[in-house]
Amino acid sequence: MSTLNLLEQLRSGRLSAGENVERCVSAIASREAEVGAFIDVFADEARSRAKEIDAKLKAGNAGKLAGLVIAVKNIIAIKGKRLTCASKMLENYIAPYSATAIERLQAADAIIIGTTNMDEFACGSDCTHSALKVTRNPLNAQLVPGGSSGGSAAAVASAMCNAALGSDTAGSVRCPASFCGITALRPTYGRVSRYGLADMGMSFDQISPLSPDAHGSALLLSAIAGADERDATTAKQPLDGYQQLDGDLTRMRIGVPGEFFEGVDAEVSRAVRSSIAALEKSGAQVIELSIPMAKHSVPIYYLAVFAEFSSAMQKYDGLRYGACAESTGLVTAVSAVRERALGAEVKRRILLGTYITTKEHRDEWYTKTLKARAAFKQAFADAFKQCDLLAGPTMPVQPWRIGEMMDNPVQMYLADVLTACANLAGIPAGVTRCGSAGSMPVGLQIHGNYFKEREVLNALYAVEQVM
Amino acid sequence: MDKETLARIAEISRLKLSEHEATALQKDMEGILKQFSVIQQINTEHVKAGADEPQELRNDSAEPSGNADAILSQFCRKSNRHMLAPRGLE
Repeated sequence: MSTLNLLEQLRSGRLSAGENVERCVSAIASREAEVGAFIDVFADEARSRAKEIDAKLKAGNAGKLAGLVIAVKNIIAIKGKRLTCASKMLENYIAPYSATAIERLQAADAIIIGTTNMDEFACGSDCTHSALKVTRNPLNAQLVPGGSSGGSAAAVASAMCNAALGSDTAGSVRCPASFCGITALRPTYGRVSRYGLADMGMSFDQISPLSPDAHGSALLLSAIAGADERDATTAKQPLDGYQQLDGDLTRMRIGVPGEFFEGVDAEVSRAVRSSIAALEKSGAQVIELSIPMAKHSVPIYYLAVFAEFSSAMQKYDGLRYGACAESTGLVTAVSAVRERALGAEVKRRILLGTYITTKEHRDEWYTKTLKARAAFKQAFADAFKQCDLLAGPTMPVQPWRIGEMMDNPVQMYLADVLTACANLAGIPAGVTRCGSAGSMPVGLQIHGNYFKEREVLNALYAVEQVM
Repeated sequence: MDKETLARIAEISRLKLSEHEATALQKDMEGILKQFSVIQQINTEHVKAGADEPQELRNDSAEPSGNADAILSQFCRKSNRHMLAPRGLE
């Protein structure tokens, strides 16, 4: 059922919020053991909340998300609930406050059904780097769902919720959306408050919606977007009528950089090219162009995020919260708890971030990275002088088998080559299913200029119409 | 990335690594840095690194957080409203 259809049923009373919750609870009961999308499920609370919302719907004073069942990546704080970041370090940590995005969802009468699995502290692209459980692709349990917001994508794809929140630092909602055949949107940096989001790379992170279709992401974004005085990086740009989607691209110029297709799996390429051709046929102007900097996205992104991540992780010291430091002597105790409670990929990133920011290596690595990032951003700004949107594949490869990338970090990092571009440039990018490679879905990725989320969503909606 | 450098970085990072872990990480980190050394070829001659624009900060005034007890309850070890930590100076 489409999001618009679902909303119409909820508003007209043909489906109650209670019935909608029961459908999701039933899907969780039948699929969760195989898929492993959730860390915690709040079925009873969701039922109670549904009763309140059904009363509001009857009284005609319900919010814009009334009755929608939402899952939340377990890196976003919900007051009184575990905020594990899928790490042993925070396994029993209870969030003392809610993220702004959660407060806004609740104010709009959404129903939160549970928290979803992820790669530990969002370090990974396949959701197998969780310290708590493995999430499997609901379309093929032998394959990864993508990451790091793999639990959120798997929950949406298997109808365990109507939509979900994830976070996107280099493609963490777009990769799993592509692998699971759903829609996701990473907003412009500063569009959504990061207050209450455990940081991975604070200059890249954005809380982002995942949904079955473009209207679902538009609806969630319209509820969570906007300035927040608790996050000084949020922008005061006006919100842009995200839900007014008509799929009309007749005046839109879609740039297709050749670099987006270099080294991409042939079947993925074919599906994406065919969807771009369909958009052209429906009236969009397609422009072939070149952004040579795009192929450097992985080293620039990873070196920058290693530095930010190693800094962000210093607060996990086993004293104030999380796993407890037990040894005697402050340094020994902190080092021992971090050794015990952090996973291999997290340690690798902390060490690399510390290395490239040490006095001896800072100029060679970190300062160079910051300059390269500025040049990268400029290259994308220049590209948008020639077009309104950029289109290409989301992932260069098809979903891999569970465990295949565990011992090959470089290979996993390289899979982010097409998604990291948006985060480096700070621009919005969305993904929707545009075809298949074998039995698995392929996601088309659309980039927009700063704060042009509506244009991206409208293009995703157009893809839904033509494919 | 030699063993001594890794040991020093691990100490600064407050990570105690086992011998086995250190060997694996040393190999991984060498491979990653080698792969990412391509960044040195990017022309950044006229590029300035830094923040784009100043952020608008909220007023610097004290406000009640209302969640002090929830935060205190997360301390691993405490005495009344104080956090207990291992001795810092040996």
